[in-house]
Amino acid sequence: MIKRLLISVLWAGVLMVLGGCGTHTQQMVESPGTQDQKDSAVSASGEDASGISGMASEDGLAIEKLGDQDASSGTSGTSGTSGAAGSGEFADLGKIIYFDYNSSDIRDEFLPIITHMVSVLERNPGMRVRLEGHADERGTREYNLALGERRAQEVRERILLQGILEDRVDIVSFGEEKPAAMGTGDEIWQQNRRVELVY
Amino acid sequence: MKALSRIVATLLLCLVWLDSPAVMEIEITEGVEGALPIAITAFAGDKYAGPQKLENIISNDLHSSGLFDVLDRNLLPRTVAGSPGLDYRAWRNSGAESLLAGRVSRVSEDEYRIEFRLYDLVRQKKLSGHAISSVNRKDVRKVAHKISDMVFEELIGVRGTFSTRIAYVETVQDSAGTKYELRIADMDGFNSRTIFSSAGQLMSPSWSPDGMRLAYVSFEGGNSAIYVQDVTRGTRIRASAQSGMNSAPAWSPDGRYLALTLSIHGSPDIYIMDAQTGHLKRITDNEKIIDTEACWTPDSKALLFTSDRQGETQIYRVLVRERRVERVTREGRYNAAPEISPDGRHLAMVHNNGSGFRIAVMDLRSGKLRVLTEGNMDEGPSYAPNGKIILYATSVQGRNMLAAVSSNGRVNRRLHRAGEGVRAPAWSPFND
Repeated sequence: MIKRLLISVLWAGVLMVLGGCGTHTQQMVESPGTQDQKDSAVSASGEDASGISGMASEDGLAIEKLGDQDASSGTSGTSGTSGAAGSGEFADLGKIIYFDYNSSDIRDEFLPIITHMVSVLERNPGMRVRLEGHADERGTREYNLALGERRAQEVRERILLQGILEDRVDIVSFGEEKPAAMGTGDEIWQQNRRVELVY
Repeated sequence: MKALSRIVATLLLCLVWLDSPAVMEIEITEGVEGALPIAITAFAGDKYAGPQKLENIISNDLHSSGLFDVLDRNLLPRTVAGSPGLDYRAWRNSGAESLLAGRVSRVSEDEYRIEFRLYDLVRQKKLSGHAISSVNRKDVRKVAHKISDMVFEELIGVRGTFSTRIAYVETVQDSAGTKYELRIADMDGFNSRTIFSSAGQLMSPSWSPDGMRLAYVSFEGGNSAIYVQDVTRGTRIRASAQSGMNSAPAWSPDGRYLALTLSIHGSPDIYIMDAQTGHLKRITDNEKIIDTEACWTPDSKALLFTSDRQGETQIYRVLVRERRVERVTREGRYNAAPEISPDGRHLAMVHNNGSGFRIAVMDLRSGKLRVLTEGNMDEGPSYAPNGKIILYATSVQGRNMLAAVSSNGRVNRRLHRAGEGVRAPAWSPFND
């Protein structure tokens, strides 16, 4: 069953690539096993909300699967399926928080990264962290710069809520200008919608 | 059928153009039906002017506006144009309604005299005749654009923009990595020169209304900051370097303010800065909401901007004094980068209704929206100062380049020398 789902998701990915970036969820709904997926996984704009797995998860499939896991196993799963940079090294992948398309909401699976960050800052009083916000290439450059900024702000807010002083957390947004992965397609885009914790 | 033959004729013309060393890629997206058919003859003695053929530059200019149907030169009468006894009937029979004929003569080693005459073939009369003396060889393109401007104004009744300039950002890869260059070029992409270069990203050039300065975003210091640079002298000042983001600068048409996006007080908001005093006024104020990409209305009283305040990314209008906000775009799930036409009646934008990010124009009175381009990643619309052409950035097979579409959607073409990594075009105001 899982294999069948996987195939259908991959197939949906192929359709997405063939159809260009403008392909939409209606097409995906027809794939077997996706009809019962919740709409909430689709962002307000109606575009895709991809999971961290990096696979074309327009249907929210990967997100749900990963919701039960902690961030570290979720991210290390990434390198297995997508061949993403970092080759599953926890230390690096544990410093990146990924986002849905056109969204700045932090998904629950990434909260442990923030908690970990806070504990590192608590143990090292002189340490500062810089949050670098990024967006994928879709949409305008200026809007994406703002989107990267708001993503970084969201992460900072979570860190500050756990008692870290404001002046220890810097923010910079690069918008779509410094992609983690080059190219086009859902798998690439998901890797690029991120906030990197640099410390 | 007639329309088809027109298209074929235009395509043939393109093939002829491809022979010239300066290759201009032309793309016809629709027929040019309804456009003014004009015959432009080869300028006699043109060989003196080197490889840049005047008639090609002029043909390309007029064609790009979408308002002219430049007839295939091979199908024109063989009779000598410009002689006193012009055979109007023969020329009229070619389908042309106007005729531009000219000649170049050499005055000295590097100096030319360029003459041209414009005829109304329907009413059988000469509309204008001009001679431009002592043209330096290196100014031939400039003169050709000037002639295009005069023909355009004579026949359309609106000022031509072929002598104006464009600014854009280009990325260049070298041994040190990616380098960003802020460039200025003629409106057709020729004669580009770099006015600022940085390893940090450069974004969003915006012309001052007098065409003397450019405001832009630079990451040269690690974070975004807004600089204003004198285009001719090269001097620059840092206009905004607040903590957080400093982006999307836009001059007010009266030159008094610079609208910008800052995040000093939380999520990205629109501010206006007094260009004289630097005093800041906050225009939008929303927690967790993105407001950016402000663009002024021609009367400098309102701003259009991009916001996700109601979930989707859409375009809104705010009155600067009252700060009252209303939504402008409703069609499509993503509308951003508002750019208002010089007459204030149309709004160009990046629009996505599900088939890609494209340039669309909305009639602000009727609300009717028209999609003008067919790319997947089109962005950065910028109006020519007469509103007839929209410059934008597009991506073809992964390469970024600049393109221009006539605002009536008839003609779409790629710009010369738009190498890889070209983006953020901004059309200058008129030169004077």
